[in-house]
Amino acid sequence: MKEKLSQFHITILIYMTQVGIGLLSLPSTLAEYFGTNGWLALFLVFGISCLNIFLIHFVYRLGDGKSVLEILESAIPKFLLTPVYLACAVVWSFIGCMVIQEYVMLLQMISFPTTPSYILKLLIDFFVLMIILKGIYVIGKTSTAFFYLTIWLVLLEGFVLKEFEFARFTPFLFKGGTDFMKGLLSTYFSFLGYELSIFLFPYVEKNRKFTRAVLTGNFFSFILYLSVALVAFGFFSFQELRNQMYPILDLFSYIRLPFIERIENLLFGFLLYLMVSTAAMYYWAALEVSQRIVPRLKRNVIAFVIVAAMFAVSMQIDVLSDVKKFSALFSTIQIGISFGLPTLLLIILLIKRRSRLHV
Amino acid sequence: MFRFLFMIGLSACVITGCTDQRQIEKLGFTHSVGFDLIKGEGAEEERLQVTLVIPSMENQVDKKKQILTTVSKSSKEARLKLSQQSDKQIVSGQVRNTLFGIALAREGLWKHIDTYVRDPAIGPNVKLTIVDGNAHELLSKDYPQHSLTGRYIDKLIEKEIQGQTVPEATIYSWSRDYYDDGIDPVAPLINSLRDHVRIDGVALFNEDKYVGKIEPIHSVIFSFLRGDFRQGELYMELPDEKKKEKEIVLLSSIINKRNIDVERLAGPQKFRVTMRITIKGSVLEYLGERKLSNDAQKKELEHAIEKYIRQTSEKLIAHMQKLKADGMGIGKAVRNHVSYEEWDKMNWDEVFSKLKVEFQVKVKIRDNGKFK
Repeated sequence: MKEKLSQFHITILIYMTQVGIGLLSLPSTLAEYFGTNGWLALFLVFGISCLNIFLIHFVYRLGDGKSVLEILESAIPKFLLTPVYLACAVVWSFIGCMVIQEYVMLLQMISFPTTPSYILKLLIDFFVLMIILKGIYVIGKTSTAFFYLTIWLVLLEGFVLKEFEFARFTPFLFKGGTDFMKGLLSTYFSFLGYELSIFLFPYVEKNRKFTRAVLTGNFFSFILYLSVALVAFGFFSFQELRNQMYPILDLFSYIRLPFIERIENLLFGFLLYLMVSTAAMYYWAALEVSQRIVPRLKRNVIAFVIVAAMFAVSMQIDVLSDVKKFSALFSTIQIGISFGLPTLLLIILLIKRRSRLHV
Repeated sequence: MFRFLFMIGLSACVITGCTDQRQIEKLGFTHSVGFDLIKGEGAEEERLQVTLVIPSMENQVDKKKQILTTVSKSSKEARLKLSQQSDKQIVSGQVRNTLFGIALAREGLWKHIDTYVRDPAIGPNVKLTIVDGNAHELLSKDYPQHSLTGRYIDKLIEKEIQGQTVPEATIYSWSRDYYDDGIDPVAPLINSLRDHVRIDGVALFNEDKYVGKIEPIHSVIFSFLRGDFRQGELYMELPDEKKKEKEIVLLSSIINKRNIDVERLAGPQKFRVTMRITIKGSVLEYLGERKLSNDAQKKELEHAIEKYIRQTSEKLIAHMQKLKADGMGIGKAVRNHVSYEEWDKMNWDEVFSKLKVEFQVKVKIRDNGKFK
């Protein structure tokens, strides 16, 4: 029997999938779109994501923990599903790819200005491929290891509190922002990742704790985002925050230890683990649906093809603003999927249930 | 397949190290940078003079330094030009201090600091200092007692920041206050004397333009107005009304707390700001008639100090109001008392220059040393 993911692993897995490259720019996104005290918007976005998790919960309950792909295939003919699967695979592999690509471009900007970005990307892609080849159980385990490797970074927030000032928060609420709706969307990108839990049904122990684990993971991410946003709003002035690309990197570079002057390059390296976990989960989800399209191909071959194809794509998209654009585009589609897919599944399950009752 | 991939990955990891090599012997670590404005005939002729101080890595014993200077339009153009003068690859990752000549500071600093904020190689802890005079002259001069000028200035300022005689100004704090609309940035001001460098007070800015300074003798009191701190020394000469002589007091190990209250007024002044300053410290030097072991006389001295600080603060604020430089961040307190629309419409510089500011100073002499 295959090993199942425990509640703890699910929590960590969700958290690690959610926290990605978006974290680095989150405070400036909040300041730019929502305006003063934009960090409060996190509560709203967190609420919406929780609603989505409940939607997934109902699918889990009604479907009795069956694989969602099986549920879909039992109701919809294969020829209709194939293009949908293909589209999903493309969206998810793109999200995974763009997360890594943005990280690579930052790494190049900060530490390796003349090393070609594709070499760095190749290394990380290889790392990701090794993980996804081993399947979801290992992804969960690796994410847990990565979690321990990165969680201590939160403590670094303590180093910048010396310059923290409540007066910089201003008493104004959401003033001077640009676009509330766009802001909601952009902030939601940082929360994306929990929706992949819908594919975990067959791999978890059958009990009610599944939803609780997903919610806890989501809550962890929320707490992390909130703490980071609060620190950034008190540390930078509001207008400055709006003008920064990656305030978290600036926070890092402010930190100075008595025995080492510039520590940020070292710290930035640890963030790689967050990106790898996020990308691995998205690639894995793409792999799950791709296998349904070509069931005869070996899983390892499909994984290799996906990662290789995405590597080729990333060689074309090597301008930071383009990466951000693609990232935003596919994340927006993903928000649609994260609400649409559970809704569709619920409808299928409800119809099935009714017909079963009639019989 | 797994093993094959692993081998590829491993070799890729190793090979990547071959690009972006930075060998320490081949690098010229810039320690301090100086910027000056050079004026020519017309407005077009304005140029930037950039000076780099590079401590030599090879001659650790002699502690030789290399000073490069060039005239250019921007700081990055200067870097390109300067690297043509050097046998080393010039890098800016270890810059500790940037000095701006006062003429350039008067024109506005933001466009020069912008490149610092943008460049990921430069950290936000780089100090920012204004030179009363010419930064190039100050950096290229030899100070016989100090082999490395840049490091000497850096340490000097760092020490003075700890004693609250100058405010800390780094790329981070300066640009934060520049962007914040309720406070104006400040920076330490230094000048060069015959064989040493001296702190010359606090440079005040309006937006990014240097507008005036706080005299060194008042800079600790300026620190009282700027915020809380836990270390500092204040030297005072208190006029004694009864006798013609002055009392001399040195207050040490100061702990300062500052609060700002804002009240609305009906008149054209709009607001009344009350700044409450609470100071605790020990008296380590006292030349005067009073007996500090006598509680009543100690109280009197406390009141005399309070009066001195209050009067000096009033002088300082009047000076700053004239210059329209809100280096203490009173604007932040006012902003937190009005609606967004009102603050948005308000011309803070104008309001600040007419503002009524009152000071309530409370001084507590914690102890008076180990002598009665």
